[in-house]
Amino acid sequence: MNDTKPASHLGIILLGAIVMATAFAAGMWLSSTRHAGEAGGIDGLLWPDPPQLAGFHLVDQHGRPLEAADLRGHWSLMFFGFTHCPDVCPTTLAALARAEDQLRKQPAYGESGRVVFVSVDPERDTPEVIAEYVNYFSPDFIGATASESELRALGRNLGVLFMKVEQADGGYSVDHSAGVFFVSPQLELLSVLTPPYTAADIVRRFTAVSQFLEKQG
Amino acid sequence: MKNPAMTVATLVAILLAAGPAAACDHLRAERGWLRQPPPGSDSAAAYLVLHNDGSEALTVRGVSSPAFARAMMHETRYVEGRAEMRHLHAVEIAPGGRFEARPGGAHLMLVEPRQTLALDDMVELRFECAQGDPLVTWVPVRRSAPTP
Ligand SMILES: [Cu+2]
Repeated sequence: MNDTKPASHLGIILLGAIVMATAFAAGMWLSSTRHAGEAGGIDGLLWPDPPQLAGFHLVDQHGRPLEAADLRGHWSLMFFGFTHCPDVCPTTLAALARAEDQLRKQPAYGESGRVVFVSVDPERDTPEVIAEYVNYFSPDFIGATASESELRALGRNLGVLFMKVEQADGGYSVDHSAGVFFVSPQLELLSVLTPPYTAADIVRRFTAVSQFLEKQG
Repeated sequence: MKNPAMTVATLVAILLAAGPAAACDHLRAERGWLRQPPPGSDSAAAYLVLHNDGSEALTVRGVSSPAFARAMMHETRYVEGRAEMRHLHAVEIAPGGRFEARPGGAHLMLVEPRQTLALDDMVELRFECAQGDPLVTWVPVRRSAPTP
Protein backbone atom coordinates (compact mmCIF):
# COMPACT_ATOMS: atom_id res chain seq x y z
CA MET A 1 0.00 0.00 0.00
CA ASN A 2 2.96 2.30 -0.61
CA ASP A 3 1.12 4.25 -3.24
CA THR A 4 -1.48 5.59 -0.83
CA LYS A 5 0.95 8.04 0.79
CA PRO A 6 1.66 10.38 -2.13
CA ALA A 7 -1.99 10.22 -3.07
CA SER A 8 -3.15 11.31 0.35
CA HIS A 9 -0.53 14.06 0.43
CA LEU A 10 -1.80 15.30 -2.88
CA GLY A 11 -5.30 15.15 -1.43
CA ILE A 12 -4.28 17.35 1.48
CA ILE A 13 -2.57 19.86 -0.82
CA LEU A 14 -5.61 19.94 -3.07
CA LEU A 15 -7.93 20.37 -0.10
CA GLY A 16 -5.70 23.17 1.15
CA ALA A 17 -5.80 24.84 -2.24
CA ILE A 18 -9.57 24.51 -2.44
CA VAL A 19 -9.95 25.89 1.08
CA MET A 20 -7.77 28.90 0.32
CA ALA A 21 -9.39 29.50 -3.04
CA THR A 22 -12.87 29.26 -1.55
CA ALA A 23 -11.90 31.56 1.29
CA PHE A 24 -10.42 34.25 -0.89
CA ALA A 25 -12.91 33.96 -3.70
CA ALA A 26 -15.78 34.27 -1.27
CA GLY A 27 -13.96 37.05 0.50
CA MET A 28 -14.81 35.36 3.76
CA TRP A 29 -11.33 35.29 5.17
CA LEU A 30 -11.87 37.83 7.87
CA SER A 31 -9.19 39.40 9.89
CA SER A 32 -9.34 38.42 13.50
CA THR A 33 -5.92 39.14 14.85
CA ARG A 34 -7.10 40.80 17.97
CA HIS A 35 -4.91 40.14 20.93
CA ALA A 36 -6.50 39.77 24.27
CA GLY A 37 -4.77 41.67 27.03
CA GLU A 38 -4.52 40.59 30.63
CA ALA A 39 -5.87 43.61 32.40
CA GLY A 40 -6.68 43.05 36.03
CA GLY A 41 -5.21 39.55 35.82
CA ILE A 42 -8.24 38.38 33.84
CA ASP A 43 -7.47 36.09 30.95
CA GLY A 44 -8.65 37.22 27.57
CA LEU A 45 -9.91 40.63 28.63
CA LEU A 46 -10.06 43.08 25.74
CA TRP A 47 -9.07 46.18 27.65
CA PRO A 48 -8.55 49.17 27.62
CA ASP A 49 -9.79 49.33 24.02
CA PRO A 50 -12.65 46.90 23.72
CA PRO A 51 -14.16 46.76 20.23
CA GLN A 52 -17.50 48.52 20.18
CA LEU A 53 -20.36 46.74 18.47
CA ALA A 54 -21.05 48.86 15.42
CA GLY A 55 -24.36 49.10 13.64
CA PHE A 56 -25.24 45.67 12.29
CA HIS A 57 -28.47 44.48 10.77
CA LEU A 58 -29.41 40.91 11.55
CA VAL A 59 -32.74 39.12 11.32
CA ASP A 60 -33.86 37.22 14.40
CA GLN A 61 -35.64 33.87 14.61
CA HIS A 62 -39.04 35.59 14.34
CA GLY A 63 -38.01 37.34 11.15
CA ARG A 64 -37.71 40.67 12.94
CA PRO A 65 -34.70 42.99 12.60
CA LEU A 66 -32.05 42.62 15.28
CA GLU A 67 -29.69 45.56 15.54
CA ALA A 68 -26.83 46.46 17.82
CA ALA A 69 -29.10 48.86 19.73
CA ASP A 70 -31.36 45.93 20.66
CA LEU A 71 -28.51 44.48 22.71
CA ARG A 72 -27.93 47.69 24.65
CA GLY A 73 -28.73 47.64 28.36
CA HIS A 74 -28.04 43.96 29.05
CA TRP A 75 -25.22 41.46 28.73
CA SER A 76 -25.05 39.34 25.59
CA LEU A 77 -23.13 36.09 25.22
CA MET A 78 -22.68 35.71 21.47
CA PHE A 79 -21.84 32.49 19.69
CA PHE A 80 -21.38 31.98 15.96
CA GLY A 81 -22.19 28.68 14.30
CA PHE A 82 -24.66 26.92 12.01
CA THR A 83 -27.38 24.32 12.44
CA HIS A 84 -25.70 21.63 10.32
CA CYS A 85 -22.74 21.66 12.74
CA PRO A 86 -23.29 18.47 14.74
CA ASP A 87 -20.45 18.56 17.23
CA VAL A 88 -19.20 21.96 18.38
CA CYS A 89 -22.44 23.94 18.03
CA PRO A 90 -24.82 21.73 20.02
CA THR A 91 -22.09 21.09 22.59
CA THR A 92 -21.56 24.83 23.03
CA LEU A 93 -25.24 25.80 23.01
CA ALA A 94 -25.99 23.13 25.62
CA ALA A 95 -23.11 24.51 27.73
CA LEU A 96 -24.44 28.05 27.27
CA ALA A 97 -27.92 26.95 28.40
CA ARG A 98 -26.45 25.36 31.54
CA ALA A 99 -24.27 28.43 32.16
CA GLU A 100 -27.23 30.75 31.72
CA ASP A 101 -29.16 28.93 34.46
CA GLN A 102 -26.32 29.87 36.81
CA LEU A 103 -25.88 33.38 35.45
CA ARG A 104 -29.52 34.31 36.00
CA LYS A 105 -28.70 34.28 39.73
CA GLN A 106 -26.03 36.94 39.25
CA PRO A 107 -27.49 40.46 39.38
CA ALA A 108 -25.25 41.65 36.53
CA TYR A 109 -26.72 39.07 34.13
CA GLY A 110 -30.12 38.82 35.80
CA GLU A 111 -33.27 38.25 33.82
CA SER A 112 -32.25 40.52 30.96
CA GLY A 113 -28.99 38.82 29.89
CA ARG A 114 -29.20 36.97 26.58
CA VAL A 115 -27.42 34.25 24.67
CA VAL A 116 -27.30 35.26 21.00
CA PHE A 117 -26.66 32.55 18.42
CA VAL A 118 -25.66 33.95 15.03
CA SER A 119 -25.76 31.53 12.11
CA VAL A 120 -22.96 32.03 9.60
CA ASP A 121 -24.80 29.79 7.13
CA PRO A 122 -27.69 31.95 5.89
CA GLU A 123 -28.00 29.73 2.81
CA ARG A 124 -29.45 26.89 4.89
CA ASP A 125 -30.40 28.63 8.12
CA THR A 126 -33.55 30.62 7.55
CA PRO A 127 -35.21 32.33 10.54
CA GLU A 128 -37.72 29.43 10.73
CA VAL A 129 -34.91 26.85 10.91
CA ILE A 130 -33.06 28.94 13.51
CA ALA A 131 -36.22 29.37 15.60
CA GLU A 132 -36.70 25.63 16.05
CA TYR A 133 -33.02 25.10 16.56
CA VAL A 134 -32.37 27.63 19.35
CA ASN A 135 -35.63 26.81 21.10
CA TYR A 136 -34.41 23.23 21.53
CA PHE A 137 -31.66 24.55 23.80
CA SER A 138 -33.52 27.36 25.55
CA PRO A 139 -36.65 29.38 24.88
CA ASP A 140 -34.65 32.41 26.10
CA PHE A 141 -32.02 32.22 23.35
CA ILE A 142 -31.98 34.74 20.56
CA GLY A 143 -31.15 33.25 17.16
CA ALA A 144 -30.20 35.40 14.20
CA THR A 145 -28.55 35.53 10.83
CA ALA A 146 -28.04 38.00 7.99
CA SER A 147 -26.85 38.28 4.43
CA GLU A 148 -23.29 37.22 3.81
CA SER A 149 -22.11 40.82 3.49
CA GLU A 150 -23.75 41.80 6.79
CA LEU A 151 -22.19 38.79 8.48
CA ARG A 152 -18.84 39.73 7.01
CA ALA A 153 -19.12 43.24 8.43
CA LEU A 154 -20.10 41.93 11.85
CA GLY A 155 -17.23 39.44 11.62
CA ARG A 156 -14.74 42.22 10.94
CA ASN A 157 -16.22 44.20 13.79
CA LEU A 158 -15.85 41.44 16.38
CA GLY A 159 -12.98 39.43 14.91
CA VAL A 160 -15.10 36.46 13.91
CA LEU A 161 -13.82 34.16 11.19
CA PHE A 162 -15.94 31.88 9.09
CA MET A 163 -15.21 30.01 5.90
CA LYS A 164 -17.12 27.50 3.81
CA VAL A 165 -15.33 24.16 3.36
CA GLU A 166 -16.37 21.38 0.99
CA GLN A 167 -16.81 18.01 2.68
CA ALA A 168 -15.82 14.61 1.33
CA ASP A 169 -19.48 13.63 0.93
CA GLY A 170 -20.25 16.57 -1.35
CA GLY A 171 -21.87 18.69 1.35
CA TYR A 172 -20.25 21.63 3.02
CA SER A 173 -19.29 22.69 6.45
CA VAL A 174 -18.38 26.11 7.77
CA ASP A 175 -15.18 26.57 9.76
CA HIS A 176 -15.98 29.26 12.27
CA SER A 177 -14.75 31.05 15.35
CA ALA A 178 -16.07 28.96 18.19
CA GLY A 179 -15.49 31.32 21.09
CA VAL A 180 -18.07 32.85 23.40
CA PHE A 181 -18.16 36.63 22.90
CA PHE A 182 -18.99 38.63 26.02
CA VAL A 183 -20.69 41.88 25.03
CA SER A 184 -21.40 44.40 27.80
CA PRO A 185 -24.63 46.39 28.21
CA GLN A 186 -22.68 49.29 26.66
CA LEU A 187 -22.07 47.15 23.56
CA GLU A 188 -18.38 46.64 24.23
CA LEU A 189 -16.84 43.29 23.36
CA LEU A 190 -15.00 42.75 26.62
CA SER A 191 -13.77 39.20 26.26
CA VAL A 192 -13.67 36.14 24.04
CA LEU A 193 -13.55 32.71 25.65
CA THR A 194 -11.77 30.45 23.19
CA PRO A 195 -12.60 26.74 22.90
CA PRO A 196 -12.62 24.22 24.36
CA TYR A 197 -14.57 25.32 27.44
CA THR A 198 -17.25 24.04 29.81
CA ALA A 199 -20.37 25.68 31.24
CA ALA A 200 -18.37 26.37 34.41
CA ASP A 201 -15.68 28.15 32.35
CA ILE A 202 -18.37 30.39 30.83
CA VAL A 203 -19.77 31.27 34.27
CA ARG A 204 -16.26 31.96 35.63
CA ARG A 205 -15.33 34.19 32.71
CA PHE A 206 -18.58 36.14 32.93
CA THR A 207 -18.17 36.66 36.66
CA ALA A 208 -14.60 37.94 36.25
CA VAL A 209 -15.42 40.22 33.33
CA SER A 210 -18.61 41.70 34.80
CA GLN A 211 -16.89 42.35 38.15
CA PHE A 212 -14.00 44.00 36.35
CA LEU A 213 -16.39 46.27 34.48
CA GLU A 214 -18.18 47.25 37.70
CA LYS A 215 -14.86 48.32 39.24
CA GLN A 216 -14.22 50.58 36.28
CA GLY A 217 -17.36 52.38 37.44
CA MET B 1 2.59 -22.61 -14.31
CA LYS B 2 0.09 -21.41 -16.83
CA ASN B 3 -0.10 -17.86 -15.57
CA PRO B 4 2.43 -16.68 -12.96
CA ALA B 5 0.64 -13.37 -12.38
CA MET B 6 -2.59 -15.15 -11.55
CA THR B 7 -0.74 -17.42 -9.16
CA VAL B 8 0.73 -14.45 -7.29
CA ALA B 9 -2.65 -12.77 -7.11
CA THR B 10 -4.23 -15.94 -5.81
CA LEU B 11 -1.46 -16.32 -3.24
CA VAL B 12 -1.92 -12.73 -2.06
CA ALA B 13 -5.64 -13.27 -1.79
CA ILE B 14 -5.10 -16.37 0.32
CA LEU B 15 -2.57 -14.58 2.53
CA LEU B 16 -4.92 -11.66 3.04
CA ALA B 17 -7.78 -13.96 3.87
CA ALA B 18 -5.71 -16.03 6.26
CA GLY B 19 -3.50 -13.18 7.50
CA PRO B 20 -3.92 -11.57 10.91
CA ALA B 21 -7.48 -12.63 10.40
CA ALA B 22 -10.64 -10.89 11.49
CA ALA B 23 -8.81 -7.88 12.92
CA CYS B 24 -12.13 -6.18 13.63
CA ASP B 25 -12.89 -9.03 16.02
CA HIS B 26 -10.49 -7.43 18.47
CA LEU B 27 -12.27 -4.13 18.23
CA ARG B 28 -14.56 -3.33 21.12
CA ALA B 29 -16.87 -0.35 21.50
CA GLU B 30 -18.07 1.16 24.75
CA ARG B 31 -19.73 4.27 26.20
CA GLY B 32 -21.37 5.08 22.90
CA TRP B 33 -24.12 7.65 22.47
CA LEU B 34 -25.57 9.73 19.70
CA ARG B 35 -26.39 13.39 20.22
CA GLN B 36 -29.97 13.94 19.14
CA PRO B 37 -29.85 16.43 16.27
CA PRO B 38 -31.79 19.55 17.24
CA PRO B 39 -34.82 20.25 15.04
CA GLY B 40 -33.75 21.93 11.82
CA SER B 41 -30.42 20.11 11.69
CA ASP B 42 -29.89 17.09 9.45
CA SER B 43 -26.49 16.23 10.94
CA ALA B 44 -25.81 14.27 14.08
CA ALA B 45 -22.65 13.29 15.92
CA ALA B 46 -22.05 10.05 17.77
CA TYR B 47 -19.37 9.45 20.34
CA LEU B 48 -17.81 6.33 21.78
CA VAL B 49 -14.55 4.68 22.77
CA LEU B 50 -13.06 1.97 20.54
CA HIS B 51 -10.59 -0.43 22.10
CA ASN B 52 -8.14 -2.68 20.31
CA ASP B 53 -8.01 -5.77 22.52
CA GLY B 54 -5.77 -7.62 20.06
CA SER B 55 -2.01 -7.96 19.92
CA GLU B 56 -1.64 -6.23 16.57
CA ALA B 57 -2.41 -2.75 15.37
CA LEU B 58 -5.70 -2.43 13.56
CA THR B 59 -7.08 0.10 11.18
CA VAL B 60 -10.67 1.32 11.18
CA ARG B 61 -11.48 2.33 7.62
CA GLY B 62 -14.89 3.80 7.98
CA VAL B 63 -18.26 3.86 9.64
CA SER B 64 -21.80 3.50 8.38
CA SER B 65 -25.27 3.37 9.85
CA PRO B 66 -28.53 2.13 8.37
CA ALA B 67 -30.23 5.02 10.19
CA PHE B 68 -28.41 7.66 8.11
CA ALA B 69 -27.77 8.26 4.44
CA ARG B 70 -24.10 9.03 5.06
CA ALA B 71 -21.59 8.52 7.82
CA MET B 72 -17.96 9.53 8.26
CA MET B 73 -15.30 9.63 10.88
CA HIS B 74 -14.59 13.27 11.64
CA GLU B 75 -12.36 15.31 13.82
CA THR B 76 -12.97 18.79 15.18
CA ARG B 77 -9.80 20.78 15.55
CA TYR B 78 -9.39 24.18 17.10
CA VAL B 79 -7.06 26.48 15.22
CA GLU B 80 -6.66 29.91 16.80
CA GLY B 81 -10.12 29.74 18.32
CA ARG B 82 -11.69 28.52 15.10
CA ALA B 83 -13.42 25.16 14.95
CA GLU B 84 -12.63 23.10 11.86
CA MET B 85 -14.21 19.77 11.01
CA ARG B 86 -12.14 17.33 8.98
CA HIS B 87 -12.66 13.86 7.55
CA LEU B 88 -10.59 11.04 9.06
CA HIS B 89 -9.98 8.53 6.28
CA ALA B 90 -8.69 5.86 8.63
CA VAL B 91 -7.99 5.47 12.30
CA GLU B 92 -5.16 3.26 13.46
CA ILE B 93 -5.35 1.79 16.94
CA ALA B 94 -2.26 0.29 18.56
CA PRO B 95 -2.51 -3.08 20.33
CA GLY B 96 -4.13 -2.43 23.70
CA GLY B 97 -4.82 1.13 22.57
CA ARG B 98 -8.01 3.09 22.18
CA PHE B 99 -9.63 5.73 20.05
CA GLU B 100 -11.90 8.11 21.86
CA ALA B 101 -14.59 10.14 20.12
CA ARG B 102 -15.95 12.88 22.39
CA PRO B 103 -17.66 16.27 22.05
CA GLY B 104 -15.32 18.85 20.59
CA GLY B 105 -12.92 16.18 19.31
CA ALA B 106 -13.24 13.15 17.08
CA HIS B 107 -16.83 12.20 16.28
CA LEU B 108 -18.86 10.05 13.97
CA MET B 109 -20.57 12.42 11.61
CA LEU B 110 -24.00 11.13 10.60
CA VAL B 111 -25.90 12.94 7.89
CA GLU B 112 -29.52 12.80 6.72
CA PRO B 113 -31.39 10.61 9.18
CA ARG B 114 -33.68 8.03 7.59
CA GLN B 115 -35.82 7.79 10.68
CA THR B 116 -36.90 9.98 13.56
CA LEU B 117 -34.43 9.91 16.41
CA ALA B 118 -36.30 9.95 19.69
CA LEU B 119 -34.44 10.00 22.98
CA ASP B 120 -33.34 6.49 24.06
CA ASP B 121 -33.78 5.03 20.58
CA MET B 122 -30.92 2.68 19.74
CA VAL B 123 -28.97 3.37 16.55
CA GLU B 124 -26.78 0.85 14.76
CA LEU B 125 -23.20 1.80 13.87
CA ARG B 126 -20.92 -0.39 11.76
CA PHE B 127 -17.17 -0.02 11.74
CA GLU B 128 -15.21 -1.41 8.81
CA CYS B 129 -11.69 -2.60 9.51
CA ALA B 130 -8.82 -3.26 7.12
CA GLN B 131 -9.43 -6.94 7.77
CA GLY B 132 -12.14 -8.99 9.34
CA ASP B 133 -15.86 -8.54 9.68
CA PRO B 134 -17.23 -5.15 10.60
CA LEU B 135 -17.91 -4.35 14.22
CA VAL B 136 -21.60 -3.71 14.79
CA THR B 137 -22.59 -1.73 17.85
CA TRP B 138 -25.73 0.05 19.05
CA VAL B 139 -25.74 3.43 20.73
CA PRO B 140 -28.58 5.29 22.47
CA VAL B 141 -29.90 8.66 21.33
CA ARG B 142 -29.27 11.18 24.08
CA ARG B 143 -29.70 14.85 24.64
CA SER B 144 -26.34 15.27 26.31
CA ALA B 145 -23.31 13.23 27.33
CA PRO B 146 -24.04 10.45 29.82
CA THR B 147 -22.43 11.11 33.18
CA PRO B 148 -19.59 8.64 33.65
CU1 LIG C 1 -18.31 16.35 11.65
